[in-house]
Amino acid sequence: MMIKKSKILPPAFAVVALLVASVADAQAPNQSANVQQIEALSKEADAQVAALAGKNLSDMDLSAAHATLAKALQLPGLTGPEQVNVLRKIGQLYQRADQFKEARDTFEKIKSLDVPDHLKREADRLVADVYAAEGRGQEAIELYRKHKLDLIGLYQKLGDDDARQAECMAVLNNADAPDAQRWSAFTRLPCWDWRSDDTAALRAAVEKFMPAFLEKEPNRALHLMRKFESQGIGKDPAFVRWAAPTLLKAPRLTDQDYRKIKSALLAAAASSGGDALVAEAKSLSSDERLDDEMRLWARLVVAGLGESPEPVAAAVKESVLPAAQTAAAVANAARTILSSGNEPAGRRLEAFYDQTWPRPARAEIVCKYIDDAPFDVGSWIASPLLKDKKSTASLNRPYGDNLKFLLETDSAVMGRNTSAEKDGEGTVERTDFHTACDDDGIHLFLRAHDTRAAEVARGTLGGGSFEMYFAPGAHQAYYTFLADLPKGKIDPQGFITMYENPMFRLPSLENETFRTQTQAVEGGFGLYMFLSWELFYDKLPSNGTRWQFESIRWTRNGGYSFGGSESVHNRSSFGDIVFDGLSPQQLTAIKRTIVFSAVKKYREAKRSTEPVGNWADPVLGDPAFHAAKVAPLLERLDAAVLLVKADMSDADVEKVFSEAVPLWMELPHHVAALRAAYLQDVMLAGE
Amino acid sequence: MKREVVRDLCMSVLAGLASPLMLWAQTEVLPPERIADYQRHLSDIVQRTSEPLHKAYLQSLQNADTPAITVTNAVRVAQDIEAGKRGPGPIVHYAVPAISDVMRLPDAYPVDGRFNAPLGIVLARDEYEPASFVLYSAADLDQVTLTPGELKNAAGDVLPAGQLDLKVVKVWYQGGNGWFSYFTDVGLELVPELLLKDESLVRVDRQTGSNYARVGEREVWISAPRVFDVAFDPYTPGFADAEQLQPVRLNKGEFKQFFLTVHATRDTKPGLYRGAITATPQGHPAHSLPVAVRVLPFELPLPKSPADLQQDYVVTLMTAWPKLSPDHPAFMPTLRNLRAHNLLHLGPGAGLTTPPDLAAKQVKAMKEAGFQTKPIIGGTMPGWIGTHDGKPLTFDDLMTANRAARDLRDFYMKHFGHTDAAISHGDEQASPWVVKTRPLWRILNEHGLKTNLAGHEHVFTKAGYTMDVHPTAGMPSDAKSARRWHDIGSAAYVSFYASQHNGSENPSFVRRQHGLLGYLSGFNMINNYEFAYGPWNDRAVELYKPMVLAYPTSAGLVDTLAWEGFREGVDDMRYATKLKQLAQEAITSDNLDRIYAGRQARQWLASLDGERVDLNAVRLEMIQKILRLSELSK
Repeated sequence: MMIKKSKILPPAFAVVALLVASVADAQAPNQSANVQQIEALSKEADAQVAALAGKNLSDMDLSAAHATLAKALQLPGLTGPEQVNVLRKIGQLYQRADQFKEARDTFEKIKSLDVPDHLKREADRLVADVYAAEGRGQEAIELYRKHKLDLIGLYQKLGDDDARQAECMAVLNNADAPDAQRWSAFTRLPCWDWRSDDTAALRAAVEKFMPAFLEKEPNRALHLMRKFESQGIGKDPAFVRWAAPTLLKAPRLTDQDYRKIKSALLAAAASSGGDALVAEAKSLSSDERLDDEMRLWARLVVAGLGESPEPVAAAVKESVLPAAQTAAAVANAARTILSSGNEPAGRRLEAFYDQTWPRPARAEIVCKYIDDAPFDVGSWIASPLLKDKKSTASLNRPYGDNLKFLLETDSAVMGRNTSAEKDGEGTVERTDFHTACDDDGIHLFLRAHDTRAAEVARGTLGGGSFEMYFAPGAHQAYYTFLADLPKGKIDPQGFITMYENPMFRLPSLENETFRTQTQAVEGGFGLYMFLSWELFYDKLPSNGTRWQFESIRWTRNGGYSFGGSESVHNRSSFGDIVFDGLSPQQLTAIKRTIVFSAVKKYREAKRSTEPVGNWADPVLGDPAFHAAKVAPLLERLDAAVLLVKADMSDADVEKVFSEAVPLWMELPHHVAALRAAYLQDVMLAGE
Repeated sequence: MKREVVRDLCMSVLAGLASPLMLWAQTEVLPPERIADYQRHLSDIVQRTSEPLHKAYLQSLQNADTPAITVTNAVRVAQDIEAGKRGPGPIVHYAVPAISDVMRLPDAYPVDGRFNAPLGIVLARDEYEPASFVLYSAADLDQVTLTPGELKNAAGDVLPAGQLDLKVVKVWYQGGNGWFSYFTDVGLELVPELLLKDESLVRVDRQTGSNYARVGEREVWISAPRVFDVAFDPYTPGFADAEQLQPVRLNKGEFKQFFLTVHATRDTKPGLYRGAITATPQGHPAHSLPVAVRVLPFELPLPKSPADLQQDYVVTLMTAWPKLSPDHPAFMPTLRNLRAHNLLHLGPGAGLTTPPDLAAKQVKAMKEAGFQTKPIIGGTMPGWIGTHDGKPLTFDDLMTANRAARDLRDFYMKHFGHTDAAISHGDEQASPWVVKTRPLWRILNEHGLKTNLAGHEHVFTKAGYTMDVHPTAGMPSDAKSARRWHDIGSAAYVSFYASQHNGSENPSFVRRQHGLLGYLSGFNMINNYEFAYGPWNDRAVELYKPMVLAYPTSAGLVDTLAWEGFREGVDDMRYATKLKQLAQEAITSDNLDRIYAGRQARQWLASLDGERVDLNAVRLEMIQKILRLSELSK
C-alpha cells in the first residue's frame, strides 16, 4: 500500500534548501515571534493530519500539512535552532508517511546549518533512526557508531538482543563509565524485557552488578519488582526467596509491594512445607507492617496446621475484620496449606469455612396439582393460589458468589432480611414466584413488583429482565428462558443444552408445549410460563419429586433470585420445584392427556411426506427396509391406536402410556435407529 | 371387531414394542412402579440365575438396605443374561453407541446397549472411527486386562492390533452443569469424560467428591472450590497417561465404559475384518467381545464448503495453538493429536513479535503435523491500533497498520509462499469500532491478506463487505445468518460460535454443533471458542468453566468423549463432501439414471433437519449412497 505520491509536495529537499537560504538572510528581531509562529503552524499541520482521521489511508493527503510547515520555513529572521525545529518537524512528517529518503534529506539539511554541535548530532540520530525504521539496520548502526549515539537503544529498536546484550555489558564492564550510564545499560539488559523468562541471566546480572548500584541508591532495588511479580509470584519459589531480601531493603518500598513480597514468601515457604511454612507464617502473623487480613491469614496458617480446630475458631472469633475479609483470610490460609501438600489440614480449613459461612439452604417451592390451574397472567392474578404460602416463594437472594454475598450483605449472615432493595429514588422491587400443575402441564407465575411500573411501561425507565432455568430433575438437560420487562417475549429455544432425542424434547411455541405471557399488572408486571407434560412424558413426577428451577430478576438494583445463583447457569444454586398432591388418579389423568397428543404426533410422523413414511417410496425410500422393519412396527403401533378412545379405561391408559406412547411420541427417532442398525447389519454381513 | 378382541390384540402387540435398542438419552428416568417391579423380581431372578458369581451377587442384594438402583440394575442385567447368550464368568458387556447423549454413569443401565453384541465399525481408509462398550461385573475385579487382538478379513489380510486404540472412559467430577453447558458452577457432578489408558491417572473419591491427579508417586487434589484452588500445572513432569491400556478395576454391580478407536490407514485393504477384544480378569474366565470392522473402498476428502465444492471448509478452534515451546516434549504430540482429531487449520502460532528462529520452528512444526497451510486463520496484528471506542483511526494508526500489513505479507510469503492468511484485530467490538476500523481492514486486503473479526449482528450490518473470516455469535442452526454472509459474494469463511462455546462434555452435542448442523445451515467454517489447555479443575475459574476438549499433560493430550465427538462431526462433513462430489459428477454425466441418482442424493441431503436428524443413521446412509453412486460411475 502506497501513499499517493502525486498529492505530496515536490521533493522536499529542494524546497527546504531554498527556504533555508531565504531564512539565513532574514533578520533576528522576530525571534520570539517566530517561535510562536512555528508552534502555531506546527499545530495547524498536526490538526490537518488529524483531520484526515476516518478516511482510507490512500485518501489521506499530507500535502496541506506539508504546505503549512513550509510556511514556517519562510518566516523572516529564523534562527538556526528555529530552522532546526522546523526541519525536524518536516522530516518527521515525511517519516510518518514512510517517505524515508525525503525524511533523511530533510534531516541532513540541519547539518549544514550554523547551529550548535548537539543539534547536528541530534540530526545524525534522526537520520540513523530513519534508516532503522526503513529496515536498513546496518546503516543505522554505522551512523550510531560513528556519532557515538546510544547503541543500546538502537539495538532495542532493531530487536537485536545479542548485540544489545553485548553493548550493555561493554558499558557495564567499563569502570570509567558514569554511574548513570552504567545503570541505564544495566536496566536495558534483555533479561529485563517483559517477554524474557531468562531468570538465570537476570540473577547473574543482578548478583554481579546490583550491589554496587545499591550502594549509590538503595531504591534501585525496586527495579526488580516487576520481574518479581511476573517471574516469581506463583511461579518460582526459588526466585522469590532470592529476590525478596533485595527488594525488602529498598527504603521506598510501598506497603502494597511489601505485602506482595511477604505473601509470596509465604507461598514459597508453603512449597517447602513443614517448619519453613510455620516459621514464615508466624513471622508474618506478628508483622505490624502488614494489614490485619494478611496477619490473620498467616495466623490461620499456623492454627490450621494443627490438629485442633480451636485455634482456628479463636482466630476467626477474634477477627475485627468484616466477614468477607475474614472469610478471604480463611480461604487464603487453606490455599497456602493445600499448596504445601498438607491436604488434610487444608480440608479442615475448607470445612471450617463452609460451616462458618454456609451457603443458604436450597430454595424450594411446592408445585401442587389442582384441577383448574391458572393459565395466563390474568387468571394468576385472580387466583387464590397467590395466597398459598407453600406454592409461593420470593426472589430474595442476591445474585453473586459467596464472597460477594458476604461483601454486599454482610449483615445478612446475622439474620437480616435482604429481600427488598431500594434504588436511588426509593422504589421497592419485590418479586413473588408461584407455581401449580394440572392435567396439561406446569404453570409458573412471576409477579415483579415495581412502584415505577408506569415509567417502565412508557419506556422511560428500564424494567430489567428475568433469566430463568428449568430442568426436570438431576442429570437432565435444562432449558433457559430470558424475558425483558415490561413486554419481553421468550424464545424457549434460545439456548440449547441438548438437541432432541427420544428422551429429551425442546419446548416450542409452535406446538404449544410452551406458552408465555408478559404484561403489566397492578403495581408491576406479571410473567407467566407454561410447560406441557408432553415434554416430560417419560419422566413424570410423583409426590416429592424435585425438579430444578431458577429465576434471576435483573433489577435496577442488581440481581435477585429464587435459588441464590452465584453466577449465571449455576445449576448447583438453582432451587427445587417439589411436586405435591399428585394422586394416582391425577397421574392417570395426565397420562390420558398425553396419550391423545402422542397419537396425533404419531399420525403426523408416519405420513408419506415425512421421513418415516418416505421409506415406502419406491425411488426415494427403501422399500426393502420399509417392509422388513418399518411396516411391522407401524402395523403394531396402528393396532395400539385402536385402544385410544375418549372413554378408555384407566388400565388401558396406563398400558398404552407405558408401552406405546414412547414409540408414538418418538417415531422418527426410533425408525432412524432401526435404519442405522439395518444398514450396519448389511455392511457388516458376510465374508 | 369387538372391543375386547382389539384390546387383547393391542396388548399382545405392545408387549413386543419396548425394545432397549431404541432408547437413549442423557439419563433414564424410571417411574417408581417400574423400580418396584424390578425389586419384586429379585428373588425370582436369583432362583433362575445359574452363573454362580451372578447368582451370588444377586443373593447379596436381598436385604432391605440395598439401594433400589443397585437392585434395578442387577435385575435388568440378569434378565438380559437370561434372554441372551453368554459364557461363564462374572463379566458381561453391552455394545453402545460411541457418540451419544447418554451419560454412562456407573449406576446407569445402558438403555441403548446391545447385550453381549459385537462391536461394529464402518470406516473409510485413513479414517479414525470409534466404537464403545460397557462392562458389568458381578464381582469386584481388581486387575482386568483388556487386549484388542488383530483383525483379519476373509483373504487373510490383517488389521493390526496396533490400529485398535482402546481406552477406559473415566467418570469424574465436573461442574454441576457438566454435560450440558460451558458455564461454571459451584457444585460437582459425576460426568463421563476422560479417555484414559491408565485410569489411575485421575483418582475419584466418591466419599469426599474429589478428583486427584497422580503425579509420579503423589496425588494432587484438582477439584477444589475456586477460593481453595491451588493451580495445578498439568505439564509437571510425571503427569502423563500410559502408552498402553493398563489393567482396570471393575466394581461389582457397576457399569464401566470403554472406548475403541480404529484407524484404517491409507494402505488398509477394503473389506470386512473380524476379531475380538479379550477381557481377562485374574482368576476368572476371560470374556470375549467380538469386533467387526468394514473398511470402505475409498478415502474421505477434506471437507468442502456446502455451497462450493471448490472451497475448503475451514476447521479450526480459537486458542488451539499450544502455548508451549516447540522443544517441549508435549508440543508435537499435542499438534499431532489436534490434527488427528480433524482440526485442519491451525497455526503457525507465530507472528511479527515472535523471534525469527522460534517462528521458523513453529512453521516447521505446523507443516510436520499436517495442518493445512492455505488459508491460514490464526494471524493477528502485532499490537492494538487506535482506541477501543469509535474514535476514527488516524493517519499514524493507519500507517502503523500499513507497516504491520507489509510485514505480515512478507512473513507469510516467506514461510508459505502466499498471503491467504486471515489477520484478526479486535474481538466482539461494538458497532462504532467496527465502523471506524474499515480502513484498517482495507489495508489488509490491499496487501492480499484476509480480515477476521468475531462478533455479533452488527459486524455484518456495518462491515460485512470487508470481512473474510467471521465467527458469528449464535447457534450453528442459524441458516439465515450463514446465507446472508454468503450472499455478499465475498466467499467469506463464516462459522457459529458461542451458543454454545466449548465446554459441554456431551460428545453427541459437540458432534452435531461442529458437524452437520452448521454444514446443513450453510456455514463453511468451524471456529468455536475455545480450545482451552486446562485447567483440570472445572471450578477453578469464574463464570465460564474451562472450555476443554482435550486435557494437557506433560506428554501431550488426554482425549475426551467430546473431543471424539468433534472428530466425528468433521468426519460427518467429510462424508457429506464425498457424497456431494460424487453426486456432482453424476449430475454432470450424460446418463439420466446417474443424473437422477446424483440429484436424489443431494435432495436427500437438502431434506435433512440438522437439529433432529440421527447422526449415526445419517452417516451410514451417506456411506450407502456413496457406494451406490460409485457403483453407478463404473
